[in-house]
Amino acid sequence: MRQQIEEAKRELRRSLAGQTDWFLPEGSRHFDPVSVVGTLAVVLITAFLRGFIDEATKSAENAGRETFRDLKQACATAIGNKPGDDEAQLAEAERAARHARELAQTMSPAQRTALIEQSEVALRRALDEIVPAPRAAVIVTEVRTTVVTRVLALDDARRDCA
Amino acid sequence: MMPGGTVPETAGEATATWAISAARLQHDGRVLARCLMALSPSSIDLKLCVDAAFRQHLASAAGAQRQWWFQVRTPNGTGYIYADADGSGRYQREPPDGVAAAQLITVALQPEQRPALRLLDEFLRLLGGLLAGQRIRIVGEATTLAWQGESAEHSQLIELQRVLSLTRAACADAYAEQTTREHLLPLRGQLLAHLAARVQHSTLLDLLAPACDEVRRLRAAYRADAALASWFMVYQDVLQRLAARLAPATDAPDHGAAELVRYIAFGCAGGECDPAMLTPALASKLARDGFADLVAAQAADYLERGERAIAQALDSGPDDDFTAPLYAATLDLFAARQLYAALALHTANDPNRLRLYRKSADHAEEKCVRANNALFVALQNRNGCKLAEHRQRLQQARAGGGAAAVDDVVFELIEMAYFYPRWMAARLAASPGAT
Repeated sequence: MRQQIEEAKRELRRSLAGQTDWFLPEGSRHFDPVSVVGTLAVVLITAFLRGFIDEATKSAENAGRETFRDLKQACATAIGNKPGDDEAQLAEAERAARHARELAQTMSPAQRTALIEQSEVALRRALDEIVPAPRAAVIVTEVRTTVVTRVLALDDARRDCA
Repeated sequence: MMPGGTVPETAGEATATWAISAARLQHDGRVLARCLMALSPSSIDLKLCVDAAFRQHLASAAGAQRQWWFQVRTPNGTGYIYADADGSGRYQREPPDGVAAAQLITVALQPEQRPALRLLDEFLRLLGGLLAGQRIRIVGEATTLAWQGESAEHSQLIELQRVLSLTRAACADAYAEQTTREHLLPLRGQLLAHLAARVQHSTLLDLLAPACDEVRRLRAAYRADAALASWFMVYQDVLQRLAARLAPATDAPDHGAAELVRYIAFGCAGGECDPAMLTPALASKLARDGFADLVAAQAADYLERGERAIAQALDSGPDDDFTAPLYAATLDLFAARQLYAALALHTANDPNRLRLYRKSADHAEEKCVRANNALFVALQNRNGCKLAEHRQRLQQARAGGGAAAVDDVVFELIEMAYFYPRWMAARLAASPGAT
């Protein structure tokens, strides 16, 4: 699973390469080494997976919303990570991916698609507070496609993003 | 193969003679002209000074020091540049946290130091010498350049010489203000004449067109820096939007025209002819008068167009002109930054909008700086020196972290720094000797 997360991170970071400054705390500039892009990619992948899990298990009163409530802070914190923190972040993404994949395997394609779309909507809502809306839409579509194809490996839930 | 300095070949000195093609001279000449005008000649002066200081410290670096903080003093203020020996770096306006003043390496750019112009002068001398049939030795290198082109190429190089001579003139200190004044004063006269005739606002916009079109041509010919070109672009684009807004808003046909005249006059009737001041002033006036959304829409268009141009550069092929879209991007991103920054000054009572404008200004500036840096690297790469540095860095990454580390460096060089088009990724990632 670690390999899939790494591949997803590399795939997603190209979409995020020119967008990192939206996630940085105000006042910080010209601070976007490769590690920050990778970090943001893992944060968004993990958030999407958690949203999917929450929607599937209804573990929160407002599933999805709870997960994404602190996305802005999570991004800011992750950007300030020290090198050693990356491992913990990847391990967390890996755990979420395993759990989400287990849940996905017990569902019909229609159920999976519905939950993926709910997670997408919730992530979009959270990202709209960080990134201008049209850019948020593009990023969320990329996150969804990457998670579905690379992490969950669900061909039936894949959506044509063109 | 553009030289750092050239002298006519001296008989008896052992040098290798290289034939240089007209296409190569044209390419290098265009890259140099784009570098000078993308933002401003002084921005390239600064880069050349910092680069020289960086190389000096790299050559004399003692022990394990691999990173430096430079304090860069210019007549316009002080900035700070973090530079790593691996070639990466970043700029900030505030002093770095946790770095003692004694650790800062000071680089002072004096107004009389114009290294970018010296480079242009050297290139013009090289071009003139080659066209006269001389062999030109590059100062500091055991290389002599010779050109034995056909007559058709000769006329192309004469044209290049003419274009670059005009670029040279456009690098003069007061050129932007003078050009702005030359185009605004006639406009003012025409505006006053048309006021008496009570014309429609579509006719008023026609008054702007000749000056704006002329400056657009100057930009295409590397004779207008970002401040000059963006003022005339913004002036025309924003007032076109305003005209569209005002036209259906009133039953009185003269009212829209009268409103529009106020804004055209604001741009050309005052004493201000510094284009760098005119754009924020017009944006601020429109924002104060309730047209902030209109300015924001125009800024968003510029930002999007600038980002599209960068994407076009990255997607360009081996036979495409990689730096042309980067040059185009710097103008749009510069204009977007100016408009968003002006809007942020008039949005204090709406925190969400204020954050959006500030972030958008930062985003546009960041992209603009990167596109300008990429042009500068293209200039430095005229003799392949930056490519060699990047290959060395890739080799170190390969030795230290394998394919994933190489992938990271390639990603940074292309997707984040815009130093190379995407087709170069495979070549950069290949092991030495594989390409």
